[in-house]
Amino acid sequence: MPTTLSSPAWPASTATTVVIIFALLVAAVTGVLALLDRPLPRWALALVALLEVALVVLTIVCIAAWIGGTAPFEPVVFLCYLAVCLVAPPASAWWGSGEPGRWGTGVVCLAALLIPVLLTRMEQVWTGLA
Amino acid sequence: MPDTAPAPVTDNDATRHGPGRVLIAVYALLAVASTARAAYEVAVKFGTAPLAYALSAFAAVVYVVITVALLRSTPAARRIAAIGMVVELVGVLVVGTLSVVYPTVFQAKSSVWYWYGRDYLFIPVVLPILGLRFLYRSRPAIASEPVHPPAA
Repeated sequence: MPTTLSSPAWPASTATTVVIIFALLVAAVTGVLALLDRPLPRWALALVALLEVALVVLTIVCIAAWIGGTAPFEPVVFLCYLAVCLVAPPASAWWGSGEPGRWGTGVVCLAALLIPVLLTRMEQVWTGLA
Repeated sequence: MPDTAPAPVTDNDATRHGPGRVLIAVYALLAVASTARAAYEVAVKFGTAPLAYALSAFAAVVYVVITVALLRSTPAARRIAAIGMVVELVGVLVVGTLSVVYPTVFQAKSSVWYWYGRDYLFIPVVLPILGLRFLYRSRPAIASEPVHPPAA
C-alpha cells in the first residue's frame, strides 16, 4: 500500500489505460462514420455498450479501493466526474440515434472523445496532483 | 392560398436536427459542467472570491438557458438562444480578457470563461460563434419576411 505517498494512489490505472484506448477507438470509428454521413450501425452501438461496461468495471475498482480505505482527495468532484462519465455513452447513443447521419453519429464520437478527458480529470482529483 | 397555412411541423424542431444535434449535446454538457462547478464553488468557497464565483454561477445560468431554448426550438426560443449566445460570447471575451490582464482578480481560476475557457479546450469561445452561425443558417422564413414578395 502506498503509505509513503501523501496523496492517495489512483487505484484504476490499468482500467484507465484500457478504457482510454477503447474510447479513442470508438471515437475513431464513429468519427469516420460521421465523415461518411452514415447513421449509427448496430455494431457501433454495441461498441458504445462495451465502453459503458468497461466504465462500470472501472467504477467498481474505484469504489472497492474507496471502501478499502483509499479515499479520493476531492470526493465530491470525483463523484461528479464519475457520474458524467457513466451517463455520457448511453445518453449520446440515445441522442445520436435520433438523428441518422453525420450529426447524430458525431454526437457519439464527441462523447467517446470526452471519456479520456474525464478519466484524466478523475485521476487528478483522486490523487490531488493536478 | 398558402400564406394562411400553418408552419410545417419540421420548422418547430429545426434546432434539434442537423448541426443542432451536436450543438445541443455540447451545450448540455457545458450546462451540466458549469452548473456543478458553480454549485460547488458557491457552496464550499464563495467567500474567497465572490466576484469570480458569482460570474461562474451566471455562466451556468446562461448555458442552461441556451440548452433549454435550443431543445424547445420555437421561434421565441430561437431568439432566446441567440440572445444567450451573444451574452455567452460577450461574457467569455470580457471575463477572458480580464482574467488575462488582471490575473490576481481571477486567481481562483473560477468560471468556465477563465482565460477564454482554456480549461475547457476553448470550447466556450468557439461554441457561441458556431451556434449563432447555425441559428442564422437554419432560420425559418418568418411571417414578417414573405417568402414570395407581392408582385407590384
